[in-house]
Amino acid sequence: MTALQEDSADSAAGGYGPDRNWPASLDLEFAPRNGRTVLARMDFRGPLRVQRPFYPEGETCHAYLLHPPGGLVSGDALTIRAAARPGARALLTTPSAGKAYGADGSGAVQSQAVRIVAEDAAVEWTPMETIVFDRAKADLSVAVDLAGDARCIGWEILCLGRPAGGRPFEKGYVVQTLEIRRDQKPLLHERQTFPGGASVMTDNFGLAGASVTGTLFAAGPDDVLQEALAMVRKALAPAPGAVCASTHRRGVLLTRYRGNDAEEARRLFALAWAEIRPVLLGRKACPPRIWTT
Amino acid sequence: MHDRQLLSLLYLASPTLPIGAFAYSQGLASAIELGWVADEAGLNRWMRGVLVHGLGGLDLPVLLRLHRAAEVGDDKNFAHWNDFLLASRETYELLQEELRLGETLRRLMDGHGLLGGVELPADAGYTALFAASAAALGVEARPAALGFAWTWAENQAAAACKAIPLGQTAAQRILMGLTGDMEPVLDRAESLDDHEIGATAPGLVLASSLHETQYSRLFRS
Repeated sequence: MTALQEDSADSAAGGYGPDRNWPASLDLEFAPRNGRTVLARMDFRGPLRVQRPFYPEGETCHAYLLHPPGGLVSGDALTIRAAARPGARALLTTPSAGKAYGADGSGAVQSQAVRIVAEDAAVEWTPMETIVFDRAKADLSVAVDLAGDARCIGWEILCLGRPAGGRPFEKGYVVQTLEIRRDQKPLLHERQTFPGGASVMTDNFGLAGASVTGTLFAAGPDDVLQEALAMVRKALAPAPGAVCASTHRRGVLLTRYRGNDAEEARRLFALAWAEIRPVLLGRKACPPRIWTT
Repeated sequence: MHDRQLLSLLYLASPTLPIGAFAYSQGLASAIELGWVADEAGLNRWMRGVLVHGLGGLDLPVLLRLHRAAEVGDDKNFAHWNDFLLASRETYELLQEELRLGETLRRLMDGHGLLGGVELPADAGYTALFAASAAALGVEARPAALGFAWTWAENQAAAACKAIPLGQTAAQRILMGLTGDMEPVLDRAESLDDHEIGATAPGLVLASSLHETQYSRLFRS
């Protein structure tokens, strides 16, 4: 996979051909059994796996998602579905940053869709950032369907280009969708489009030249989220140059980041998560070991 | 456009419509406080950006759908797009503005005995009420959307005059300039498929969130 370390359009302008298009899907189901949550079902297609679950805090099932190719090229389509049965508690994370490489000549979209379904259960989705290379055509989406008293904390961090490596995001586009519903009612719907070189990348109403944008979300009872909001606001202090702000509306608490440092975004979101988790899920933060390695 | 339709649109889009829109800045007051908008050029970029990537991506395409649903009395679709819009309001204050202005416009229009054409959800927002009122008054979709965008622009310019502060002449230059952008923005809004609808204005969203804890507040959003 060394060839993929470079922007693909440079090394493979003609495209990878049909062989390199890897649709992949992963279907997970979590259910409570004998006092802890087990991975009751796992179906996969293509190069997408989950490691043997960990139980660093007892009951909650920690699962690491692996995508061995390490990134999306033109035509790739990843679908991840995680369903939590009543009473289940699952935390999903990824051990390394996701990548969407520069598009090849085919112009095909690179997509990743995450779908979380939870009924009277708790799901956490705390992946590493997704790096979108210049000239990518990426469609990234997260949809969360909650029912009953289900609770959820998650985040998405997007790095646009690699400005540190002299490769800013100038061409191509990223569409990022985040939807949260409870009992079919839409609580949050965001669909942001970032076309390389557009005013939304450079102007203050948009990203103001920042290369990292992220959103943390937490869904649950409004009184609990209101309490968490005050704590999150107190806990977060971004470095100069970065902006971080939190709000709570319509059953969802949101913390948003705009800056140039994915690590800082992750650190701030982990801090917010540590404030929210005890009040929303009734347990102390137990950072997955992978975050510190 | 018939005379009656034009007059109805002027009524609905008037900055003196007594719904209290002047009390909201949609994150602009916060952006000014943060130094993100400091002068005429900065305000022009902010407003154009929000018009193209915010209203053009979300408010206008949803308004067009609400208007269509109101015209044909499609209660289910009307409720769907109202819900969609409320879910798309990214912050507490942006959602409150949508809801409060919706309530006030509803009372006003109810007082006129209008609004029988479509069943209004209990939490119908400003955009839904604007669409239903326009449809009830016989204002067609496209002029209704232009009126909606124009009243937004006037209100933003007025907020900036108070908060920057900015001279009236500079504000009027920006408004006149924006009239040229509105037609292509609306053309694009008309062309969007349902799944393509959404606003992209992360700076505005951050400014609006930060306004919730801003020390000196001239506006409610």
